[in-house]
Amino acid sequence: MTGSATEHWEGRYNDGLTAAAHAARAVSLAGNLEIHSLEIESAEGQTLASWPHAEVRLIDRPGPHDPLRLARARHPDRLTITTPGALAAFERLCPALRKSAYKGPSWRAVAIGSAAALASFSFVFFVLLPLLARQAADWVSPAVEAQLGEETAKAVISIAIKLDDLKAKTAPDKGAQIKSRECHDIEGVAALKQLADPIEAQLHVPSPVHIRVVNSSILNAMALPGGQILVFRGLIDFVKTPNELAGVLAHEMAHIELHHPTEVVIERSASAFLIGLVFGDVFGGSAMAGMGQAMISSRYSRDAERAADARGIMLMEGAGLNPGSFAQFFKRLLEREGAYSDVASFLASHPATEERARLAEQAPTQGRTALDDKDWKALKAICK
Amino acid sequence: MSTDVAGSDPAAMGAASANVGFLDRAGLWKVVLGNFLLTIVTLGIYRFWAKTRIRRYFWSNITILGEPLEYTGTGRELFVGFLIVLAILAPLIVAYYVLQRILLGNPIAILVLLVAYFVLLFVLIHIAVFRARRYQLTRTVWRGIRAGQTGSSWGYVGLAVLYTVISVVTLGLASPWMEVGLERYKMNNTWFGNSQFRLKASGFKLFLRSLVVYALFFVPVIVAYAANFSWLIAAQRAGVGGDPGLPPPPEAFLLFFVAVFAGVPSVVWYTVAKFRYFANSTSLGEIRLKSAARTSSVLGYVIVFVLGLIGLVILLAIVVSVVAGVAAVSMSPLLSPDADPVSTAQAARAIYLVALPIVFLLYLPLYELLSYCWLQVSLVRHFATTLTIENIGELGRIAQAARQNPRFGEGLADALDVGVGVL
Repeated sequence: MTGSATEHWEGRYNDGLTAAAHAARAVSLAGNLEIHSLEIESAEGQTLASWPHAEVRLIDRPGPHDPLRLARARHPDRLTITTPGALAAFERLCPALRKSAYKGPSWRAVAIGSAAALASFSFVFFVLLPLLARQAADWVSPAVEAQLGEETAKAVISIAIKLDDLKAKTAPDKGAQIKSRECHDIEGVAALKQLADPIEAQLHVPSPVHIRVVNSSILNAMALPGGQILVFRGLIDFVKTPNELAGVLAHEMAHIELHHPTEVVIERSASAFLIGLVFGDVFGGSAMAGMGQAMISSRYSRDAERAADARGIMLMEGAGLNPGSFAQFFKRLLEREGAYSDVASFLASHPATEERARLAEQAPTQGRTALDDKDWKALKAICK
Repeated sequence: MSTDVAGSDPAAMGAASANVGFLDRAGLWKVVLGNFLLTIVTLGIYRFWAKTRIRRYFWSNITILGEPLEYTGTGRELFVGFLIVLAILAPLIVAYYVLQRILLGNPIAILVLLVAYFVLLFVLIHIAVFRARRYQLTRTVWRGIRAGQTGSSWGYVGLAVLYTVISVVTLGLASPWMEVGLERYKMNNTWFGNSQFRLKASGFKLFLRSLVVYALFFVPVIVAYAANFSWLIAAQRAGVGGDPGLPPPPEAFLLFFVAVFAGVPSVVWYTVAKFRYFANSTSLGEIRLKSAARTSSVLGYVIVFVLGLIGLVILLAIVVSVVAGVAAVSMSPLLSPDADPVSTAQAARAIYLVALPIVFLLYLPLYELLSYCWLQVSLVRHFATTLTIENIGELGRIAQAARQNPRFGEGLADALDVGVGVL
């Protein structure tokens, strides 16, 4: 230390022009860090650089015995202070010492990047994917559709069973315990066939519709790719008349005719695949797993539901069945919706249920009842 | 010439060469654990900043003439790079996925699609590797001078395609030529300031080294396999866990011993020998590199790492048993033989649900600690400190070069999950 009040430290300086190291002394002077050469032969005392205090940055957190490595923000030159204990003084002099020495992209670039990614994702989810899925649903071969349907059915049934298990934990009656996954009571199956056949006869589909009853308390029915319909026991317990159930089946068959299930499955699995990418799951192992969950809580678009409702009522009329009780079904769903908002059912939780009940109400009310009492009882007992 | 103040600077004292140093700075475990927690909390988005912190640690540990390297990349750069690539790839990925769904039933179309997919993936991976290397080099600074990489990703991809075809045609015999060819392209396009690296290596010399792997690994395994052929077939027919019907002949164990005691060391030896050969064939102007990396050391680090992993699995097994035991005792009424089977199943499920996160939250950070704080640090330290830079005084003459540097980094490499470099 000289006698003067100015603080100074020794070390070495890299000018950012060459990789040479210059012996240097740094002096704090009037808000600046003046860096002077200590090189005896050439330029002793010459000022090498002058860094404003506000621009001095620490390169990395030094240990107690490490030299202090400093940079000037947005500049390539570097200063290494070897005088021990200099850190405290620099903390005092340089207000932004601990700020990052590296500029990196601005927050504007982050915002633009995020906007680009968001725009691309929105485009993919709302334009490209529905478009591709609709095309794909038309192009896909029956064999592939059947395979898709089988995969989806497996995923859906296993999730339905898990949901039942969860409910069984809280519900007092343990009757929900699942003995077998599917219901095969011979008389019940025959009655179901009797109910479905006249409706199916009206349908324009390449392969026959296959209806499976799943022994699960979920109040739901769903159409799957490849002409499969899953009906859950919860729905069979809920419906009061054969025509209510016929209405549901007609509605699901209409979805099949309109290719909706294939569309949704392709759309959902593709989005699960894409979401996996964002979180680092590149090869989409989670896509199939996510599909069952997506399907069970899945909703078709309002337009798709309207189309299926309208076509479903047409199918019932064509089969000579009275579609009027379909309206009753929706009304009762609405009441139940109020009471149990947690019911896992896309029919019950559909936001447009009220509108659909009204639509069904306008339907003609003539036509026969689908099943006689004996067959209806057999159908209600299909899972016993 | 300028005087260098670092007193021990061999260049200043007229010495021609010096070893690269490694500082072993404290606190890596804090970085690793912090990264783990933040990455989980942010559902993986923190990984860009995590990667940056780890790199910053390793770069700042490696010293040349006592001066550490500096990593000037930022997490934000990596994040923006990722967003951009995501924006470009998302529609392509979805289109591919839907196409694959449509064509599922048509074997020929699926085959064509699959081939197209793998060709595209191959090309993208090589582009990602080359671009990520450029990003990392341009973010590497020593004494204020930036490194860099010229050359084009497409040139690199073309070379990779060519060499891969040759390697496949020659059943892998030509792969040393591929390794040399790709390394040459990368090194000859690598710069420090205005000075360009040169790799003068021959594929044939690397091929001679690969013969050791053939002699100690491939050939003995094939011979041992042939010797035990009938037994292996019987074992395979019996399936996993099945009884092959006849006892394994004593030579059957030969396979195992050959693989463990000759195969693994020979592969490690080849990897280390390749590093030495490449280093010794590399020059930067008048500056040359010389590596004295040792197989025995590297093998030692790997063995300790594997033993550590085994210990970790044993530790986890003990912890899970204790937890499950405590849970089972506390739920004993539910687990007794005359209890309702449903509640027993639920109790077992609850134990499983408790044990699973424990395994997850214990194994992953401990694995990361073992990997970074032991294996990676040991390897980087060994390869760095056994590396001698000859004619090191010339380094000080190298000047900054004006090069166009990429603004964002590595998005493609992240999207494809390509591990780039050691870290």
